[in-house]
Formats: sequence, C-alpha cells, structure tokens
Amino acid sequence: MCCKKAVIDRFEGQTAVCELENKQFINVNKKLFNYTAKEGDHILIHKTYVIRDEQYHSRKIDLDEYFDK
Amino acid sequence: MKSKLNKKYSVLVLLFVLCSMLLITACFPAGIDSSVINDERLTVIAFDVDQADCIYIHTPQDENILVDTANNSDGQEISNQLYNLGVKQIDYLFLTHPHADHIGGADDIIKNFDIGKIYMPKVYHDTQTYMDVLNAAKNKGIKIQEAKPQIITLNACTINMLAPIKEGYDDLNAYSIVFKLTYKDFDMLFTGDLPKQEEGELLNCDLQADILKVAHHGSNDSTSENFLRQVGCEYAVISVGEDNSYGHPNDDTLVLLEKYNVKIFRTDLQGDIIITTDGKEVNIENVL
Repeated sequence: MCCKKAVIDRFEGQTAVCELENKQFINVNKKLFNYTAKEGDHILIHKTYVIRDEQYHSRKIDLDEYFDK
Repeated sequence: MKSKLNKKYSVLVLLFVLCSMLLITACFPAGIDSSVINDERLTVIAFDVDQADCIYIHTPQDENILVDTANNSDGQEISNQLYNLGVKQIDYLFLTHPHADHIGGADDIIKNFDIGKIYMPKVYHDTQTYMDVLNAAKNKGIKIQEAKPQIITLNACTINMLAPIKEGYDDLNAYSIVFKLTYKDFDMLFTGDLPKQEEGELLNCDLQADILKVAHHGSNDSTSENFLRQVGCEYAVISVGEDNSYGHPNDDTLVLLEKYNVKIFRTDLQGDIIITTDGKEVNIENVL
C-alpha cells in the first residue's frame, strides 16, 4: 500500500491528529501537508508528504435526522 | 521424602494463591467506588483519562451527569468506572464538541447505559468517531438536544449553558459547550476546549465560579487573563495526559493560574480528581 487514508480530527499546535480507517489515531506534522488543511479533510498520508484525498466524497448527512427539532 | 512433598505442595499452594491474587487485581483494578458518593453532597469526578476529558457529576438528588467521554478506546473503561460508582442511568450526557478526545467513548456509553438527554453542538464532523456517536443515539431512539444558551433546572442544581452562542466557526473547539453548574453557593465552570477568542464572547456573562475546568487541557490557545479574572476561581482542574506530545498544559497557562493564586489539580500528576461540596465548603481529593 502506498499510503494511509485518514481524516483530520483536529489540530494540536503543529500536529494534525488523524483518524485512520480502523479508527486508530496518528499524529502527523503539519509541515508534511502540501496544502492548507482543515479539520474534517480526508487525506492520503505518504511517507514524506500528505495530500488531500480527491477521491473521497463527503457523507451526505442531514443532522436534523439525529437532532431534536 | 514426605517432608519434601509437603514443601513442594506448600510452594504450589503459595503460587496458586499469588496467581489468584494477581488475577483478581487485574480483573478488578483499584479505583473509585460508590463510597465517594454522598447523597447530601454534590460530587464531581474528573477521571484520569490520559490526554482527553471525561467528568462525572452526581447531584444530591441522585442525578447522574457525564461531561465528555474521552477517546474511542476509553468507553468500556469509563463504563466500568461508572458501574463501580453504582451508576445505572445517565440523566444528562454533554458532549462538548465533536473532537475524538471528547466524544470517542460516547458510543459505548450510550450502548451501555440508559440515557436521559444528550446535548451536543449541532455541527457536523466528517469522522467515523462522530458518526458512531450519532448512530448509537439513533439506534437507541434518542434525539440529540442542540446545545445553545439555556438553563437546565435539576432537582437541587442548575446548569446554565452559556455557549455555543453562534454558528459558522472554523475551529470545532469554538463550538464547545460551556456551562456553569450551581449547587447552593457553589459554582463550577465547564469549558470544553473553548479558545481564547470565543472566551471573549462570554465576558459579559456571569462566569464567577469556585472551580474552573481549564479549557483545552491547559493549552495556551485557551484561558485568557480577562476570562480567568472574570471567573475568579479558587481552584482549577486540568484534564491532561502525562508526557503528552502537545505540550499541555502550557507553561503560560500554569503561570497565569499561579498569578491569580489558583490552586491547580491535574489528572496527569494526581490521577482522578474528586470534588465534593455541601454547597458551601469544598473538598478536593485525588486517587492515583
């Protein structure tokens, strides 16, 4: 496998805390990103760089289904 | 020969007893039990959940409140801690914001306990951890309550929810539920991971409290001097992991707290922090 798929849960200083597909978490240095990342971005983590996962399509979630109106 | 056999037998028995004791200790680790709960006092326990938040509140009228649920891997351990405390139902579950170190164990908690109301900020986060919480609630037929400024009246206490007050923040920390828990003359302010900028939006609120749950594990992104001055607390609780890689709590935050003579309790150094009060006098202990 060339890289790991993950989603950015949050930033802690210079560290992006990322959720992998198996729900484990890893810390990734922000310096490795080739773009200005934000929370919730789906990414591909390579050994020396991180790129946005262009193949990922966000879930279509209607929060009204889960929240009281 | 008989003496040698007896000696062997004694050693085997001793080994068996030692192994049994080790097994029992492993299965039932030392921790807090229901003896810390006093029905005439408010009890607040900041669990030592490493680099995360999870705080349990038991009111004098036997209501159970949980504020955040630590990381994904902590759900079962928190459940066990709550079982030890005699908790069967959680009346109010506050999930301050969608980051995994605050909501990670919530799916297990929702599955394991009868839940009254769940409060969360109504903001989407595209992680599996977040979806698991939404789906756990949905599977139990629970509609989540949107966190916004409101007063929740309990039997003996009140919860004054001060934030989130707006939508459209870039940083999920900014959506943190902030509330003041009041029991008679005692107040404690819970702040999630609220950043300094959004603290500024609350400066016209009544923030005064005896105890501050320091926001964002003591990060210097939170706890501005203006905010701390308004809170005017005597004690501060910092939920933070030992030797974490994020530099929490930040030295600037600790220096600021010391400047205002705030007595600091830290889960990384002191383990579980147990606060009890009759509404006047406050007692704080720790369990390592």
